Amino acid sequence: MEKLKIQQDFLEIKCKNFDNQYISPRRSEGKPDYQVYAFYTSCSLRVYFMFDELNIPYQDCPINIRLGEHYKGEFAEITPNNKIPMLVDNTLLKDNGEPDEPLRIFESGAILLYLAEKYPESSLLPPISKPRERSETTQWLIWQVSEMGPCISQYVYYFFYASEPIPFGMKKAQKDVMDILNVLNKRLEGREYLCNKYSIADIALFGWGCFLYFGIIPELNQFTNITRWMNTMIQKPTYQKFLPRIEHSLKIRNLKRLDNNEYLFNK
Amino acid sequence: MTDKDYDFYGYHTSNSWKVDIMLKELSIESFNYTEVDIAAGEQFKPDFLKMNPNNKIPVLVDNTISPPLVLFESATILEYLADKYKKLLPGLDRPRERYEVLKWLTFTVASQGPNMGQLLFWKIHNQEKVPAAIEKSQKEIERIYSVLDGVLKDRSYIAGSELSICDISCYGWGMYLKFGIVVDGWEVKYPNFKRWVDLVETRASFQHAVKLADEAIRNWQASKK
Repeated sequence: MEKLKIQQDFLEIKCKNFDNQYISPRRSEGKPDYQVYAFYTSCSLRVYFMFDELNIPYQDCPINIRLGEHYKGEFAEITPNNKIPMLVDNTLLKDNGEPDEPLRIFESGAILLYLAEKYPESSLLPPISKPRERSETTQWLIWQVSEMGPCISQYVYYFFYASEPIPFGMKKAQKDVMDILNVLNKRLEGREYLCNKYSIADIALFGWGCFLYFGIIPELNQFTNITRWMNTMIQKPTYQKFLPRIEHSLKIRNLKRLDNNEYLFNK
Repeated sequence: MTDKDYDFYGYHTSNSWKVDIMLKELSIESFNYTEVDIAAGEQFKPDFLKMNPNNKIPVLVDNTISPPLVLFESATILEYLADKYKKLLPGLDRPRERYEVLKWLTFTVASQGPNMGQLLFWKIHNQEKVPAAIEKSQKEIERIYSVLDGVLKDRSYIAGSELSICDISCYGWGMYLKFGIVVDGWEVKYPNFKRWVDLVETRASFQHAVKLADEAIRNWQASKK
């Protein structure tokens, strides 16, 4: 009963708020250009943000991982990794102009790179012809998916999701998170964005950034460059649009900290 | 040190060995290698932090362009070199093949790498044994290797029929299975992955890396005695 309710709430957020971009899965004229298999997770949100920034329509295919949908049905058949997000691009054509097989990409970092390279006019990733600017952007993108993301997800596991408190796990996660936020805070010193200008590195960062914004790490306010960056980000229409939905998705999860038994949002 | 085309800062770790393999695959010989002793904290020295504010190796400096370009994150180094030399990564004109490589490359650094790090921390490096944490990371790492085993079921290399940077990146941590500290009976559990290990190890570049790793592990074991 409880589970069903969560899914209903979740779908309600989707239908209510995705009115601009939500295309019914049952639309008759064949496949949509893009299908996004995702949920309200940090990695999925990066892809939602990206599509919003590109202003490209897509079919949203919610995969409720809390109900194990990533191991079921159509999604399980087309993914080798059972992880969201996954992007399916149905627009590719063969040399003779016939529609080609759909292109399926998983790993949020790879999806952002793909879309940025496909839509170079978005200027969200410098081209290969500018190796200096480009590699600066890709290294901060990769840093997030390989260092910061895994680090914060460990923290979230040990502080919110573990079936019982594991003190040493919390201690390590706490230290690792403080180290990584220090690196990020230093990087953002004197910079408006992670790299020279707004890029996929910032979009990727806000995937976790939005959860930081809602207080999953209480010490965040010590990191003044990060909070300043966050204030810049939340002014943007994309994030303005998503923040209320993210807040709602967090509220219905009813998260309680395992270190002090406090709820993330006051009940 | 700008007498060579590249400066490579590394240590005997999985992520450094990826760069060793890449340089060999591209037949790049004009580079200086500097060992950064991360066990002694050299990655926190101001000169190093100037290159990588994230205090991690590997770092690669490309001196062939002016001013020299400093790169960190192993996946970025591999992608940069592959695009520069147009090898081991298909170009933008082949998006399907290119992104088959880039998604698995990202998988190796975002899933395989961090989870290997967690596993080795909880299983080996941490003095205090925490069963719940070991179990969590063991379960995830076994899932990750069965994903890799699954994709290798009907292809020679991870992204298809050709060697690419995602094979190089995967091998950095992948070779640890051979050292017997990750998954018991991995050859039987992951037969396709085992076949892939045997295949890439026919190449001089991968043999070079496994030799470096063998030495490092022997030294580490000797230091523990």
